[in-house]
Amino acid sequence: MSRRGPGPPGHRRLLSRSQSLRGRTVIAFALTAGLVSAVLAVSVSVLGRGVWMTLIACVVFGTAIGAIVGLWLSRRLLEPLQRVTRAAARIASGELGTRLPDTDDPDLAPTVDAFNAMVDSLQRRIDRERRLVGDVSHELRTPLTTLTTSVGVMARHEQDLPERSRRALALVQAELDHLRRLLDDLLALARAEARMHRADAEPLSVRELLAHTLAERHYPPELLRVSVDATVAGRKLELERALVNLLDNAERHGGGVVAITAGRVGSEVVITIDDAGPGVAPQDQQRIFERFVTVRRSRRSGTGTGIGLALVAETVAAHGGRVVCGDRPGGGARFVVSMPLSEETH
Amino acid sequence: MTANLMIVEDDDRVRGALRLAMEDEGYDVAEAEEAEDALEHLRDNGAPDVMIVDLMLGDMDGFTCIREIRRDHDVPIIVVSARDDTHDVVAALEAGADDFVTKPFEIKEITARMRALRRRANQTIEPQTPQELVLDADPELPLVLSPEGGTVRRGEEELHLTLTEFRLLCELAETPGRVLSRSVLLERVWDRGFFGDERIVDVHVRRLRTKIERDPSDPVVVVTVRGLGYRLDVQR
Repeated sequence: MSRRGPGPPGHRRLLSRSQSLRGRTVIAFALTAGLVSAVLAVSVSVLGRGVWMTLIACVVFGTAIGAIVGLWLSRRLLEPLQRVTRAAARIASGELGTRLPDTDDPDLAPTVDAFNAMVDSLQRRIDRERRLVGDVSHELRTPLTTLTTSVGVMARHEQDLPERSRRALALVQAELDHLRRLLDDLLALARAEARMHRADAEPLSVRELLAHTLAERHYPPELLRVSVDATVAGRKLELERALVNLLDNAERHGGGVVAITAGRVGSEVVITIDDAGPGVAPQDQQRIFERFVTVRRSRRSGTGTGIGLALVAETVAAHGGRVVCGDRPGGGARFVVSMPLSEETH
Repeated sequence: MTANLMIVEDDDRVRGALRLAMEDEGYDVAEAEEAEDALEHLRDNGAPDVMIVDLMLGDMDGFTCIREIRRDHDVPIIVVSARDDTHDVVAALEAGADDFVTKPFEIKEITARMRALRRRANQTIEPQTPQELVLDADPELPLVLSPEGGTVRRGEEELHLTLTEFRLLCELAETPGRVLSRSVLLERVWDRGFFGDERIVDVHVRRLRTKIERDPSDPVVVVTVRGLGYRLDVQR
């Protein structure tokens, strides 16, 4: 880092001052003023009697010199700001290793130091969170593995169990399943919020994505209607998870999905998922995307984790889009996901 | 015929549960609590038909364990871990694992993957594949693939590929000059669908390159086609 040493000799201090931003500004203005005065003096002596001529000449030359110096100066002044802007953009996009380079300019040094220290702290915090997610994941998943595996073995031999034990086993399996999904969703949400992505975004065909998601969940392909295929820049697994959560939500609270459509509206892809259930009350239509909010839409007891829709909102936001809940014309709920088209789509 | 399975897992209860489930599936199960025990077992008894190795082991970390196993054995290895951080997945695959499963898993899922791995081991190659395919016609040290013989040779020296690496190479070599997408490779080599983890393909291609290419940093046989997938180019 550049720091001025304790009491450098007089002439060196003068030199370092001239290299600093403030120094340069002062010198520039001083030179300009001096130059303009010189022009004034010269024109007065040369052009002598013509007062108006002298005045006009001075104004013209003076303004020109001032403008040139101003242009040069403004560029030099803005340059450090532009460097900071570029660095900030890179950091925001994920290149956490970016730092501003050391500078010899004593006026800029405090800014550079402060900026770099801020990024250091940010990076440390993100690393800590990443480690935490990993540790929690391991600590909770290990006992869950034993439970799931053992209960799986019991289920295979349930014929050997008396009726009551069989029912208890079914409950244990259901709750274990719930626990596992809760854990998966919580970790996925934590990662999504921290923008910890496990893959790069790639151009995806919305039609293919929806078709494969439906097929994987054994939905009839006739449910899907794609008016115009579109491409989004996205992460396959994250988008699949978001879609699955929306489908599950329709199943759990809306009696099942009745229609899925996809199409292009302007520069966005719009995906709609409809159910013909009781719909979502207007006052809840925004709340349901918050964590742990479950609204009892039907009489069935909730089997959801309360996080599914929060994850959808976070994922879609991370892809530059948004999701809203509204009413389906004819009854039921309609979830609309909009995302920007990838640049490759014309 | 009973297949042999070795489970390398330091947590007693997880190991016990896994043993229970695998024996239920018909496997002959050997256990090891630590990497050292596993390596010793391999030295004394040879390699089992398939191995399940946990990444978080007590004495030696999972990656080192896998690398040690790979020094002498081709045995199919499935890695299990509670952590599914990209770094862990890639490191495990780079170290030599054939597949990666996150805990907790459905028993059906892991047994399906084990079956796929073992099927590859016993697979007989379809007759359409030529007897031998020269992949790099270097006059001194040609690279020759023999799908039926199950070998790859550089000159006189036989290269040691794992089952999965070999299978991947054969798959690419079946259609030289044609690009195969990661999805397709995932489907054919790992029996995985559209949403399979494509990192497995990328890492295996990387591993393959270090073994068969003359300059792995500048691959000419197994070529990346940006945005589309991979392609095998026969060098004449």
